[in-house]
Amino acid sequence: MKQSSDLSKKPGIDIEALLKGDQRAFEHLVVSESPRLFRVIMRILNDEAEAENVLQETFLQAYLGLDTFRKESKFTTWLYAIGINLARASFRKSKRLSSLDEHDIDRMQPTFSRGMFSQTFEQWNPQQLAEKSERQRVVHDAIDQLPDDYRTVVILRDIEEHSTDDVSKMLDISGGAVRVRLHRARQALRSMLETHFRD
Amino acid sequence: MNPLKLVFRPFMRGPSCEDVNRFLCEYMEGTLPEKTRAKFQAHLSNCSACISYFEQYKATVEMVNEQKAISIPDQLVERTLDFLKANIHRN
Ligand SMILES: [Zn+2]
Repeated sequence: MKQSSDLSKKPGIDIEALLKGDQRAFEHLVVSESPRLFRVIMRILNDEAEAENVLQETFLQAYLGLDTFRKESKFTTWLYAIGINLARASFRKSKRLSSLDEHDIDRMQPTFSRGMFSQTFEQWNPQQLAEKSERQRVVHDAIDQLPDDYRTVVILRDIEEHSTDDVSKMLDISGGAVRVRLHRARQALRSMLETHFRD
Repeated sequence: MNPLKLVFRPFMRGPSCEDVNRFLCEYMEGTLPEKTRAKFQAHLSNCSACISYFEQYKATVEMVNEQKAISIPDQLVERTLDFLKANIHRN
């Protein structure tokens, strides 16, 4: 089967046929990418019905916009970029607002004086939240408080484990910007979790 | 020129806690230049403040990573294909 190099790891998706508007090839794409893409959209929205709507709209926009795909990025990355944009737009429209802003994130970064930590960090006691489901809930609530830009990077990098390079293309920002956001988000999360794990 | 080089040049004597902290993400990801990585590693194995901070940082990443799996709704793919058939023909 004919394949372009960027999808060589995914046997079965015929990119050339896809770009010519071949319906079978597009169906194949839907079958193979739906679960993974749904997970990302669902994590952004926390709403199963809306996540399904967004997934469907993503594939529709991708199909109708096939001629706007530029081959310098992976096809799947392009598809994810559409899905993430739609999911974030829908998330912003929902009444839910992130409770933290950029200043809060600043405030949650560690501070230094002459290059040395100006605070000390006691060892965390994981026994405090030994129950995994309880831990997951606490961490989930903390992630949900992050500003949208930070939350999206955490979902893509640290939960769904996409590469920095892929995330940078999905979000149309540099790899450096992905790392800075991820780092600041992790440090803010650490600060939020501290109260739960301190002895 | 690699912008990281400009930042790293000043710490010939070894990075400070703040230097190490700024690049923890790159350090964990393994994307630091080899020489810098070695300097960071030396600092991180000797500095108790950085050791305890890095422990918490890693624990945070691990806990974020253990978020509950998302279950895929039954018939998600079938419904998506039906939706596409209906809407593509309309267009
Ligand atoms: Zn240190």
